[in-house]
Amino acid sequence: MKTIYIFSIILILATGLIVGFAVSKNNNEIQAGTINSQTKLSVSDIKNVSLKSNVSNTGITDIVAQLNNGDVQTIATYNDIYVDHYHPIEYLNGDVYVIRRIGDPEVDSGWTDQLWKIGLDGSEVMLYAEQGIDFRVSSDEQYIAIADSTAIGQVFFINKDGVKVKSFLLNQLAIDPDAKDSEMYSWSNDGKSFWGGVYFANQEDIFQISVDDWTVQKFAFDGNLHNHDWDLNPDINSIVYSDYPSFGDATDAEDFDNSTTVTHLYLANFITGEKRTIDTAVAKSYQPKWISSTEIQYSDPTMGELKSYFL
Amino acid sequence: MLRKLTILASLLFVFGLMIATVGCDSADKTVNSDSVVLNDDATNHDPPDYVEGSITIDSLNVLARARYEEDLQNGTFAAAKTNGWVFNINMPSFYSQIEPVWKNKALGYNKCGNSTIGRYGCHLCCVAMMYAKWGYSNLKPPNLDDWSHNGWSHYAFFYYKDCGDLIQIPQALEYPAISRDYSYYPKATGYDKIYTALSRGWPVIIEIAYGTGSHFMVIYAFDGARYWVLDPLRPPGQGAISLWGTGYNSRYIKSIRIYGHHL
Repeated sequence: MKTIYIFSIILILATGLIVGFAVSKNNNEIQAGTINSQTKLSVSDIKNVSLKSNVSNTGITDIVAQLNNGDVQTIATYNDIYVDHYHPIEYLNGDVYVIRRIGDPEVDSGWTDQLWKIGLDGSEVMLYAEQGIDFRVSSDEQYIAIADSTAIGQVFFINKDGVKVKSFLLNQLAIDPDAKDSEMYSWSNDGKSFWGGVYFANQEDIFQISVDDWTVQKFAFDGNLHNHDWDLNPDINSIVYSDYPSFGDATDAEDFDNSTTVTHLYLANFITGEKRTIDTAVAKSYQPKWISSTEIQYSDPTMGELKSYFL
Repeated sequence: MLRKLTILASLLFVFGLMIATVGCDSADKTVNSDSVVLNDDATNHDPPDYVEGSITIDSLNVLARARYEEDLQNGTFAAAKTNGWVFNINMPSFYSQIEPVWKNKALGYNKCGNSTIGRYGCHLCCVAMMYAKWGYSNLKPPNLDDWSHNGWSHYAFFYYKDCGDLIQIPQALEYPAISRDYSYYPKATGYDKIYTALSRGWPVIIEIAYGTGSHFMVIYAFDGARYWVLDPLRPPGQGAISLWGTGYNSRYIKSIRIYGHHL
């Protein structure tokens, strides 16, 4: 009888340890990928990091580094990177941030999108998991702005350890009560402010969140953020944008291109309210881009070549 | 003694499991203070864009009511309504563009890097709902988005314009390899076609002015006073809503489309 009791105790303890370890392991390293231990790269070696389909295995994705010497080197390989995401990866200071989709939504109601941070030293850590996530990492990696589809319009911030430190509801970011959702744009270079917008409203608003005191500045924007024909410069609180319309389909777009409607390219500063016209054309878009805080480059509407505008 | 040890071991077992489980949520601590400064000086609320030569949703409902009254007087609808509906077309699926599964999925060729189904995919969702009605229940918005055909990786989209995220009709209606008719009525030219299409059991795609762009929905029913739509901007499972009192009324019609048929 005594033997049975002792055996039972050992069995229970062993089972508890095994199950507990397995669950814990599953939480932290779920479907972990393969880190290339031969990489031995330093931050100064790397020009850029991107995703690439594995040449020999369908459905496998490599995280590859384009090196300054022209070489390409694989950092890690996963079978679940959410490559269809419009913004699946960021690379900053030797850290790769990538979204992995765990589980198949068609058959698994518990699927999640997971944000992982992968270091050049082979380290990997999951920072956040929820269904339908989007993210932007600050340049100093102190904060990550996150949006997930379970809280529509909400933007919140996690720190570098993945701990949620601040949340903003849609009505804290939008001026227009009709706004249906928010979207994330970018951080300022100093990592001090984060910019985003709200949409599906009577007008589109832009917001700026300062991480020093978590204050929000909201700006009623008179332009069209739906047309892709704009570029924001968070460092000087400015936007270059056009009044080129947005379209419902390709037929609408082609009809407009054949019209005589004049389009304008504008430069505006959110803080000062200053707005000036940079260029005009007939039925053209401009695809403007900030090259620096003093130079904007855009497609010359008459020649189709790149043109610079200096502030 | 041994019995106590057994109980203790069981407690340790449960405790071990608790630690493991708590570990799952260690990153989900919310600190939500209210230190938000609002810019109260900001101006707000221009009326929805006026579209020259068009009419509002409100007017659309008024015109439909008049048409219905006329039909009743003419005896066209002797039985009036069925279960409260004049027309109520069975739509097998509602696809929300903000469905978490595909909200952040890149739309079309996404050449600009910021096109998503959640932001720009209302038309795609409407076309996918039409496909569900035509029997292609597996062709959900992301599948239609990625549909490769004739050597094009996103055949339903026009590569050469803007960011490659604009649906091109009729290509988007060709799945899997079938040409389908469609009618397109810009601005107010198609307002009277909606009623006729619904009477024939054909859903109608409506494009309205919405913010700085357009929004697409599927009109599938008429209750004698208002049209009803499946609005892709609404959350999953909550797509059906009347075209009244929800911010739609004063918005202007940009186009009316009937996919799969000619009127």
